[in-house]
Amino acid sequence: MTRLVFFSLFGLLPVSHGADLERGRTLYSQICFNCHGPKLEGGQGPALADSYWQHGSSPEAILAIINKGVPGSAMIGYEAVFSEADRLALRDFILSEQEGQLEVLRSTYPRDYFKGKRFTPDLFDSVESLAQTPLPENLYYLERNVDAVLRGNSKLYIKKAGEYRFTVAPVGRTSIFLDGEEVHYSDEATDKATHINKAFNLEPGAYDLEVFHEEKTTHKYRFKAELKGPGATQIALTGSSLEGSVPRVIKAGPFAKVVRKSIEGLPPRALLCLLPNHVIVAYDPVDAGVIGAWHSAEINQTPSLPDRSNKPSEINGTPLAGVDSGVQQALAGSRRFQRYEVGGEAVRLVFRVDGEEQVVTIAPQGTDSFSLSVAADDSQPAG
Amino acid sequence: MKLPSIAAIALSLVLWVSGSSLAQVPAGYRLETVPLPKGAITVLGLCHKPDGTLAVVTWEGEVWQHRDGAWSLFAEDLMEPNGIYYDVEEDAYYVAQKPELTRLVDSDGDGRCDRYECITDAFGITSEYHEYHFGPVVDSLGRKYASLNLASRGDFIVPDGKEQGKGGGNMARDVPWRGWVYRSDRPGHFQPLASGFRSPCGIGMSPRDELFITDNQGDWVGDCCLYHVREGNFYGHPASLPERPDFTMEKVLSLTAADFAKIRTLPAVWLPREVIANSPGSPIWDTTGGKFGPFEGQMFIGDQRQSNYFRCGVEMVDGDYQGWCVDFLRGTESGPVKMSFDPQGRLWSAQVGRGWFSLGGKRTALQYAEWDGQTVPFAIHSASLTKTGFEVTFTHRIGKQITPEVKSWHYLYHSTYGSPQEDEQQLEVTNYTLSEDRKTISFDVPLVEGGKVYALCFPGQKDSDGTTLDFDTLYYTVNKLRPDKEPGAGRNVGWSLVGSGWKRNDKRRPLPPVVEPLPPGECEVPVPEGATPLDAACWDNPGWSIDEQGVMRRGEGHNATNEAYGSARIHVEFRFEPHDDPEWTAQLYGNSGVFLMSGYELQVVNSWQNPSFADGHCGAIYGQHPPRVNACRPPGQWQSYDILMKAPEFADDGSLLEPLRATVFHNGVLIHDDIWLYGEVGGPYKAHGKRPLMLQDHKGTEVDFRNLWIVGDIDYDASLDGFRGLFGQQPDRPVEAESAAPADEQAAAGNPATGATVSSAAR
Repeated sequence: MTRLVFFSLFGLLPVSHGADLERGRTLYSQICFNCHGPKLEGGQGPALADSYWQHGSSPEAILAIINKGVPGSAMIGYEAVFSEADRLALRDFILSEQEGQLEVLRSTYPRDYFKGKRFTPDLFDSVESLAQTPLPENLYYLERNVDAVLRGNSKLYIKKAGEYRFTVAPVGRTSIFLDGEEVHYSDEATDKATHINKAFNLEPGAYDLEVFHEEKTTHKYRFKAELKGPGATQIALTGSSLEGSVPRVIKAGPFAKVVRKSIEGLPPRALLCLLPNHVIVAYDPVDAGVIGAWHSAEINQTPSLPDRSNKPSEINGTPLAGVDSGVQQALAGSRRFQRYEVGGEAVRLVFRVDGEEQVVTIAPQGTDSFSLSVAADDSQPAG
Repeated sequence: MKLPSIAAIALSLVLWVSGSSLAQVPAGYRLETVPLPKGAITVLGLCHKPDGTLAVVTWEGEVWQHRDGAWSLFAEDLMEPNGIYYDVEEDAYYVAQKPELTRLVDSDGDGRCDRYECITDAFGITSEYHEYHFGPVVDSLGRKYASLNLASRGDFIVPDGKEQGKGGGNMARDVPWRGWVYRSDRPGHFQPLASGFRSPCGIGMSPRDELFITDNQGDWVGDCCLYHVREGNFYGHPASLPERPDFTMEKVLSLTAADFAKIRTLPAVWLPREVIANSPGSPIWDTTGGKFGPFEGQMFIGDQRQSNYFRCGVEMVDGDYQGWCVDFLRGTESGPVKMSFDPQGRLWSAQVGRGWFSLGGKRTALQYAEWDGQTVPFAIHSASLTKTGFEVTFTHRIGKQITPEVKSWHYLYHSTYGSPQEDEQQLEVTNYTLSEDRKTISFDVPLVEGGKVYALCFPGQKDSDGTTLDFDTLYYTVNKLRPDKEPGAGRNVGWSLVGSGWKRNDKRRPLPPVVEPLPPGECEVPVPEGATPLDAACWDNPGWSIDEQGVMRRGEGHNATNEAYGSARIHVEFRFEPHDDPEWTAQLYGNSGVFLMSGYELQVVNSWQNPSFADGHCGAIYGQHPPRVNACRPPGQWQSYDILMKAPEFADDGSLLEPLRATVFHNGVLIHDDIWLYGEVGGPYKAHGKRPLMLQDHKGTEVDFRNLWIVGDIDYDASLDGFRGLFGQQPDRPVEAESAAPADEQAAAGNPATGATVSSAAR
C-alpha cells in the first residue's frame, strides 16, 4: 500500500515537512487560537478539528480562507499579513491535526446497473451517476426514500500510526477501497466466509477512501460504518445531515440590529439590541426598561436550531454592571410598544404613551457600553 | 481513480433537484423543487406579490424574497415567524412571529426591512416552545387573522380525570388567549374571535371571507380536522375557555367532556389520519380561474407528515358547513404546511420535516405543482350529500360501474390523545344510478348525523378509456342531514358580516354571556370639559316629552339633535318601564336605539331576562356586533352607555377609507372594544359628513332617557387608551345563575365570547 503525502495546490507537490508544521503550529498559537481555540476546538470562531467544514475541506479551500478570509465574519484574510510560506505552513499544520474524512463527495447511482455485480471503482466509472453532492459534514448519509446506490469519495486523514480495521453494520452490502485496494466487503445475503475485513497499518497522512453501499429503500437510511484504530481510536464514516443545523451565531455588524430570540431567563418579548460595538442591551417592551446588558457579546442561535426549537438561544458575552433597569419617566403612563427601527448605529424603540410617540434610542458608547435616551418623536415616518 | 469534473458535479446537481421519483402526481401535473438559499433554512410560510416575487419566512427567523431565480434577504432575527402576508397597498409584509403580529416595512427602499411594527402583542406568551403563532390571513376589509397554539406543557391543563403521560399529555394554557384565533383590524387592535383550538397550524380565508382553521389530532381532538370558524364559538379544547367572560379556571376544571361536548362546534370535515393527514397545514382556495386545472373553487391543504396535497370541499347543510376531503398528490420532498398560488396559477408549498417526522424525508423544501393546461386527470372531483345518500362526481366519464364500498365511523371526544375510529361499519349501498354524461353517480346509504365520517371508496374504478383512479377514496363528514328546506335559502343569502361566519340577525349566533354591571355609583363619570348637555332645546322632535327632572320619553318618530356631529364621546342614560305582559317581550320590551351620526345603531332594548337574537341585544351594534357581554340592569333602573366613536372617512369619490369605530361601556362594563362597523344599520356605507345624533322610535314598551351629553370633534385614537381606563381595569364578573355549567343546553347555547378586552398580556 502506498502512503500518500499531503497535497499542495493541484496535488502537484508534496508539502509535508516537520519544520513547516512547527512553524504552522507557532503561528496558530500566536494568532488563530484566539478564535478557533488552543486545540482547534472552536470558540468565537468555528472548530477546525471536527468534521464539519462550512467552506470546503480541501487543502485549496482551506488555504483560500486563510488568504481571503470570510466576508461578513470576524475571519479576515491573511494574504497581506503572512508570507506565502507561512500561510502554507499554517494550512499544513491545520491539516496535520485532522483525523477522519475530509473532501467528502457523495454520489448516487441507478440501482439496476449494479444488480448481481460486485462493487468496484471501475464499474462505477462506467456509468453516469444520478447526482453528486459535496457533504460539508464529511460524513455519509442519504435522504430518506432515495432509491439508489451510494458511492462516497473522500480523503481519510490519519493522526496515529498503527493497525486499523473497518466495522460496518450488517445492512445491505458495502465495499470499502483504501488507495484503490478493497479492504472491506460485507453483505446480508452471502456466507460471511466470503466477506473481506482486512486489518492494515497506517501512518499519519492522507489516504484515498472510496465507499460503496446499497440497501433497501426505506424512510430511514441505516448505513453505519466506522474505522477502528490504535488505542480507542474510532473514526466515524457515517452520520446525519446537519442541514439547517449548522452553527449559527448572530454577531454585531456595522449597523445595530434588534434580535427576537428566546433566551433563558429573559421574557420572550425581550428586544435584544445588538450594537456595532458588540454590546447587547435586552429591553423589555412590556415594562419599558433595560433588563440586561452584555459587552463583547453575540447571540448563539445554534441550540435552538434542531428539532422543534425546544431549546432557547444563548447570549455569549460579559454582563455589564450597574445597568439602570427603571422605567424612564417619559414612558410612565398608558403605554403601548409600537415598533423598532434599525438602519443606523443605534436602534430606535418607539412607544405610544398617553397618545404621544416616545422614542427610546439605544446607541453604542465606547467599546463596551451603551447610551439610552428618551425623547418625543421628531420624525413621524411616512406610511 | 478518477474524480468527476466540477462541471459534471454542477450539471448533476441541477438534474438532482428536478423532482422526486417517488412522487404520486396526477396526470397533467408536475411537482418541481426550487433550491433554497444557503445556510440554516427551514421554510414555514410563503406568499406571492402580484409581480410574481415569492417571499418565504423561515423557522430561523428570516424573510427571503425570490425573484428571477435569485434569493435576497429582506428581514432577519425574528422569532419563528409562521406565516407571511403581503399587503399590496401598503407595500409591506405581515408576519405572525411568536411574540407578536408584526408589519415589516422597507422605508428607504433599499430592499431590506428597517421598520418592525408591532401590530398586536395583546396575547400571553411563556417560554414554552409549543406556543406557536400562525398567520396572518386577511379578509376583504384588510383585517388580519391569526391563531395561537396551546403550550405542550404547563400548569393549567384539563385532564378530565385522566392520568397524564400515556400517549401524550394534555396541552396547557398558562397565559391568556392560548388556543384562540383572533382578528386585528389595525395597530393596537386585538379581538379574540373563537376558542377551543389545540394546535391550529392551518388558517385560511375563503374567497367569501369565511375563516377556516385546521387543527391537529391530540387531547380533546379525536383526529385532524377542518373547522369553519364563527365568531364566539368554541371548537373543543377546553384549556382555552378561561378567557371567556362566562368561564373561570375553576369552572372549567369542574366540568367534564359531556359538558364541553354540549357547547363545542363540530369540525366541518374530519381529515382521517394516516390516509389524509396527521398534521394539516393551511387551506388555500383555487381561485386561479382554471389555471390549476378542473378544481376551481376547491380547497387545497398540505399535510406535514403525509407529505401530500389534498382537496376539500364544503357545502351548507342545515345552516352549517360540512364536506369532504380526497387526496390530490403525494410524495412531496418534505411536509407542506403553508401554500400559495403564484400569478401563473402554480401551487407552491413551504415544507418542513423538522421536529415532526415527515414522510417526504427532507428537513425542508420549497416545491410547486403546475398543471399543463390541458390534461384533466381522472379523479373524484367532488361529492355532495343527498337526503338519502351521496352524489359523487368524477372528472372523466366512468367505465364499468363499480358499486362503491362505504364505511362509516365517528370519533370520541375526550381528554386522551386522539381517538380510534369508533363503531366502524360497512354500509349497504343501494339505488346506484349513473348520470347521462356518466360523470356523476348517486347512491343511498344509511345516514346518521352528528359527526359520522363516510369513506366512499371506488376500488379499481376505471374511466371510459380504462385509466384507473389514482386516489379512490373520498371522506365525507356528516354533521347534519339534508333538511326539507335549507334555512335562509332565498333570503339573507351571503355573508354580510365579513370574517365573522354569521349572517345579520342570525338566530343561532350565541347570546352574550350575562355579567354583573358595575354598581350605579361606580358608573358615574365626570362630565368632561367641553361637553354639551343635550337638553330639551337640543332636540328636533317635540313629540318626545321631557318632564321637570329632564327625563325624556320616547315619542312618535325619531328624535335628532339640531347640531351635527362627527367623532364624539357620548353619554346616554336610559330606563325601561317594567311590565309582565307576555305579548311585549324580546324586541318589543322597551325598544329604541342610539343612532350614531343618524345611521349607526347602538341598540337600546331590555335584555335583562329577556333574550332575543344576539345582534339585536341591548348594547349590540344592531345587525352586526353583539355586545361582548350582557351587563344589563332590570327594567325600572337607570342604565348608562359611555361611547367613544370615530366618524367614518370617505374618499372624494365616496368610497370608504376608514370605517366607523366605536368603544362602548354599558353600565361601566366594556361591551365593544374598538370595533369596526360594517356599515349603517340599513345598509352599506354611503359617504357623509357630520350628522345629528338620533334616538330611535321603535314599536315596543316605554323607554326613558336622561342626562345625555356629547363631546364633539374628539380625537378618537388619542383618546382611546384613556377611555378604555374610564372605569379602571374591571374583570368580568359572571352571573352564575345565568351562565351556569352548560349542563343546561339552553344556557350553553347562550355562552359566547364575542369580543374581549385588550389586557396587558402575561409573560
